[in-house]
Amino acid sequence: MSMFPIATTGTIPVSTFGQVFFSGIPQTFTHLQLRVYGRTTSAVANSQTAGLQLSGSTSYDGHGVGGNGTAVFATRQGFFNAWFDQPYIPGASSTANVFGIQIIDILDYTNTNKNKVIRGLGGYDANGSGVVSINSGFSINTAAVTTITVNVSGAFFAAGSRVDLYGISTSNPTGA
Amino acid sequence: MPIIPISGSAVSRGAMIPLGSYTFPNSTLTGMGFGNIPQGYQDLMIVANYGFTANVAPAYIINAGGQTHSITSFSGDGVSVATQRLTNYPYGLISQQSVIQTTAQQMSQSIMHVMSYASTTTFKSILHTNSFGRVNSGTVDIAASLIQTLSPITSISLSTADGSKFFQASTTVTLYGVRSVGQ
Repeated sequence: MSMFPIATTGTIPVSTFGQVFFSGIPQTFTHLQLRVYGRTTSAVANSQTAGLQLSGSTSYDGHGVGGNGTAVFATRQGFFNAWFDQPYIPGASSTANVFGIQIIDILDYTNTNKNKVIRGLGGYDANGSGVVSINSGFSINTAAVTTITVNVSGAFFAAGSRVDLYGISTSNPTGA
Repeated sequence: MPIIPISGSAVSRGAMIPLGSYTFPNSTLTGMGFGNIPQGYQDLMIVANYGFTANVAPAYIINAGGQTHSITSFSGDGVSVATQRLTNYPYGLISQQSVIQTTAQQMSQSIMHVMSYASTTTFKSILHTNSFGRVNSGTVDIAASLIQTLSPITSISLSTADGSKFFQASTTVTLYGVRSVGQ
């Protein structure tokens, strides 16, 4: 199994983008992995989720378990939620220079016979606050994944954030 | 909203580049390290399959030390779940779970994603997943840790919290660079 870089935002230079959109995703890999190093400008709460949409689908169900250093929690999104909720990243009120991590796996994304399962690991620590969680869910849509949207609701990605998309192949690596 | 172009040429090269690997030849070593880490990748990934000859908290040290480390974790042991936090610590913990003394055949596994390790403008965030598989006493956890430094990461060493316990023979530690498009 080998991983290949497909696309990247690069380091987002300014806090003016609320969404990142990958299109024309090659249909030649077995799985996809999204790696987010992010922070939002939202002042609503210390920790923020980021939403994920596959091929524009607006029907997701998801659930997660995690801890914030003080209490453990289990969450469940409403059925037919418009976005898949990824693990938390820090908001504007969190310690400066702290960014969160989201590693999202989307399995068998080209298959047109089944809904797409999503699994996310992520969180952040800010030396006295923070949260980690494991989230999973699925897109209630059997279409192949050709586009991915990552959204921070009501806010922007903070400057310094980054989103990278990778393809995971079951064939032998061809280089590097 | 930025529209991200797909880089056709980039997908022909693998993303995970092995930078170094070490296998402990015996049970007399207290640690190992990687130095002169290349700065040309997006992230680092550390994969460790390890055990100790005594009960111990596994630790890592970035660069020469002197930074402030902290960690938040969520774990389960088959009976209950827990969450823990450690702040203002002199070195990083691979996991907040102690590794119980095991035989060389009973290893633990940790995968650590060190994001944007070459950045000079952000603190360093690490995502850990750990599993300690033992009969009737295993645990699994996920953790996020922070190193409050703006300096790029140029070296990483793995040791024990008190630096006096020994790794089991056949412990393996591998460091990968994770390449992004254009790297």
